[in-house]
Amino acid sequence: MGKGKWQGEYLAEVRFPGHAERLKICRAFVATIGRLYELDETTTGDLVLAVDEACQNVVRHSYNGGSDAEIHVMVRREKGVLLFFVRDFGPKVDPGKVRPRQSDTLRPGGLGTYIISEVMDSVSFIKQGKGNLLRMVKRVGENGA
Amino acid sequence: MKHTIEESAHGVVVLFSGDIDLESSPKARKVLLKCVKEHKGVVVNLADVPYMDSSGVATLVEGFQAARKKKSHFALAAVSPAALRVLQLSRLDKVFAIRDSVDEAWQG
Repeated sequence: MGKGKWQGEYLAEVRFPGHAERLKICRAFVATIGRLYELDETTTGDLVLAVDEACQNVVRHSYNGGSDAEIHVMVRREKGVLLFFVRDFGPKVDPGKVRPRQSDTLRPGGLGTYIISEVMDSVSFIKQGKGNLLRMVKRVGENGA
Repeated sequence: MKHTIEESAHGVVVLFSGDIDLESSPKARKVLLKCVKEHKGVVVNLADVPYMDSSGVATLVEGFQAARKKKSHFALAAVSPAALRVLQLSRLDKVFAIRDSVDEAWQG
């Protein structure tokens, strides 16, 4: 493990304005990472979905439905894991209030965080001077990273 | 995302084509809820949906709940692998009636 908020080797990063129609950029970026590291189709699809959901949370909540403020998605790797960081510049999120909905609960909201927790091996907010920084860790095996 | 609506003896089939995501789901929601309101049954054909996220799932949940409230038929047909995966990850794949074809979806 590296020291500080960053860990592992820096692989790539994409930055885009915080609007719903820009999330396709993020999805294409994560799909490319999956192909580059020869992850299987399901894992790649799951990662695309989870990172997309994290960015959606930014657009919906931190950016009140959309903002020209940027979202940064960074990917790093460490032995056997990929690390995805989603950075926004909105109001501070209270991590205690970001909870996945109960499994099998039939209601339209609260699904995104649940999906992220299902796909990723760990999810945490990292203390940040301005805005928020979400770290998501996915074990992909030695071949994948 | 585009959509087409085909009338049948049982109600309507809503065929979505394209991603159902944060950008397009408000439109999908509007279409679906209108169909549920105006017809006795709705089958949602998801064969041409290469990507769906939680907002798409939420849209389907709203359609399902609206149909249940008026005791009308609501089912999903020919669900693409990506759409099925997000339903599985949401643990809602057992909640919806998911059938391989539109014909089967009308049968319950």
